Amino acid sequence: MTIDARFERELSGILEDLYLGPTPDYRTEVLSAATARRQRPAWTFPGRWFLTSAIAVRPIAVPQLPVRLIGVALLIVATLLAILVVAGSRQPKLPPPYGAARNGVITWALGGDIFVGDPATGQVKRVVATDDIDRNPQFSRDGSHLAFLRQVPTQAGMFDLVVMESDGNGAKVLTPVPITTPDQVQWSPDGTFLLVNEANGDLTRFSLDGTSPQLLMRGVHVEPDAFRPPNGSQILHEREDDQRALYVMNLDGSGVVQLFGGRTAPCACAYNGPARWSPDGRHVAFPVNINGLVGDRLFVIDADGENFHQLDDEDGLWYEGEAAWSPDGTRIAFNRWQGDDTGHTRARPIGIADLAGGPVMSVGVAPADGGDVIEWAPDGRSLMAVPSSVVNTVSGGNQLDGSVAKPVMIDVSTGDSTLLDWSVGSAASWQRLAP
Amino acid sequence: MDQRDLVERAQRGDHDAFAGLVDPALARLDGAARLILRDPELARDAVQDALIRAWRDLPGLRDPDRFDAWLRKLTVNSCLDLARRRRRRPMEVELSPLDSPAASDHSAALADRELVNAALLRLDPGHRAVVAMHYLLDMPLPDVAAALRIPPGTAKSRLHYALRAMRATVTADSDTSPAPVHGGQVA
Repeated sequence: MTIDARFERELSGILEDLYLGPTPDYRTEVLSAATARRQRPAWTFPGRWFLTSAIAVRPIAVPQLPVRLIGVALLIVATLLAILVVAGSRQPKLPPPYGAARNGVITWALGGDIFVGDPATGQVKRVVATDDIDRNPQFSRDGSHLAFLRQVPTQAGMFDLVVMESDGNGAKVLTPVPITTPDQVQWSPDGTFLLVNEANGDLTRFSLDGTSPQLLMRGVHVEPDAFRPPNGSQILHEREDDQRALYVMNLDGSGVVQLFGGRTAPCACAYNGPARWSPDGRHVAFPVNINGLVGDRLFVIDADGENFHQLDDEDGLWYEGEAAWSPDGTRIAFNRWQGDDTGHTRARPIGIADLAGGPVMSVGVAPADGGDVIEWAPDGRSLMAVPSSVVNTVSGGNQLDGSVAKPVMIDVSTGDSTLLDWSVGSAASWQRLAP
Repeated sequence: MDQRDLVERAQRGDHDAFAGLVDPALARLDGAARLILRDPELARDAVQDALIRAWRDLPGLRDPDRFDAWLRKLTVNSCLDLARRRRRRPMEVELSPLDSPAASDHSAALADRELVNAALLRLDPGHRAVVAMHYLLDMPLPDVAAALRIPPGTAKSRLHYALRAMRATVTADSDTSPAPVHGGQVA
């Protein structure tokens, strides 16, 4: 037995000797504190009564689009828009929610305040500076608004959702009651509402028009960029009652279909998440563990469940994850770790694979062990990478741990990287502008 | 009465049933929290937060057989939330009477424990959490990844990093000669 194997074998026993003791003397006190609180009534968990047998196992069909009808409708819409322009509308031109766009500014949180920076000039300004702790800012897909979380000072793990215009004006709180431990906050494609997915699986809709929040589902965990392009009518998610499977459902919770999992996978393989839609909504990319072998590889599947295939054929033992689609949907950037025969893994530079096949391009330098949060520039010419160690889960305590990092900009044509001289304490969000 | 019965009773507000579910797990949850947070008081707070959430949301647990895994996940995430709030340096874990060696323990075994403990202190909370979940809470890596909502590759990578760093620390600290640390730096 190698020294390493012996160390691991003995570690459990050593840790038990160090940390496993008798029942803590605070047992009665913490149990009393817990049970003194109200339980959520069972009827408030509609997901408990959802019949899993009612969930379809057939893949969803790609809708057949009535092209001619849509063309006529678009012509009418275009005519109306032209009339508005002629009539003197002063609304700024906004980009479509998906696809290539012009690069705007970048926003992030640091020290409880919200900042924006212009990557072209390097200039930075503080746009939200209060006594509150604000975090996790993100632009709407049309770049017109910015949403962020504001910690409730008197309630640990509770947050308000705040929205303002991208110039910092018109800030308003969307949460009549603070939300608990939010895992995901995502803008709808049309920018009229946000979805908040809490750690307990609650999925709630918060509209910008001030209507009451709407609890949509319980027991789900949405994927990053869960809305299916172009209109967001379907949500990509995982379900607590069937873990390690990928599902799609309509926004109202109907039409639940397993896209990939134990019942639909064409192999003895397991979904390992997270999954992301392509910008045209026709494909989904996600990591898969194949046949129980060590290692995870990125796969792509069509929205109708067909054409399940591995993204790249790089030789060796790889763990690939956190797929990020280019704005034009032709390439995928991802984190990757390379394994060796001893079972160790090492982070490697971000990889970029072409959807049409070919070798993986390595860009930048190898990130820290936990990988990076990768975001394409709206124009598709570069990547922004922020160490995942800085990007905690959306939830956090009522204080900040002071973790900061500098974003790295990577030119995807050359692979060269540049360290931005900004200190960020959260994930960074890039504003999309009309071309 | 089996665990499923206890869960179903606790879901209906039975305090004793909830205590019956928590009691078998409490010592190990407390141990994992102390390993991650390195502070007995914070560990107590983390366990209490986890139990509060467990009691509050228990009616929403659809599969009673998943109670133990669910409670472990709540505890670890509570620990990591608290760790992010901390400003002061982690405290050394005091040796409790449990940690005192039995009369028959070899002095080398005690030294090993102390070296491992010192090595754990040098890890950040995220890496300690993976070690605690895998080796103290007996969770397979896919479950660790699912609980932390990270890719399995990241969980595996963090565990390997933690073990490598701990081995390097143990090796360096046990070597009385001023030789360089084998394998490079310890983070």
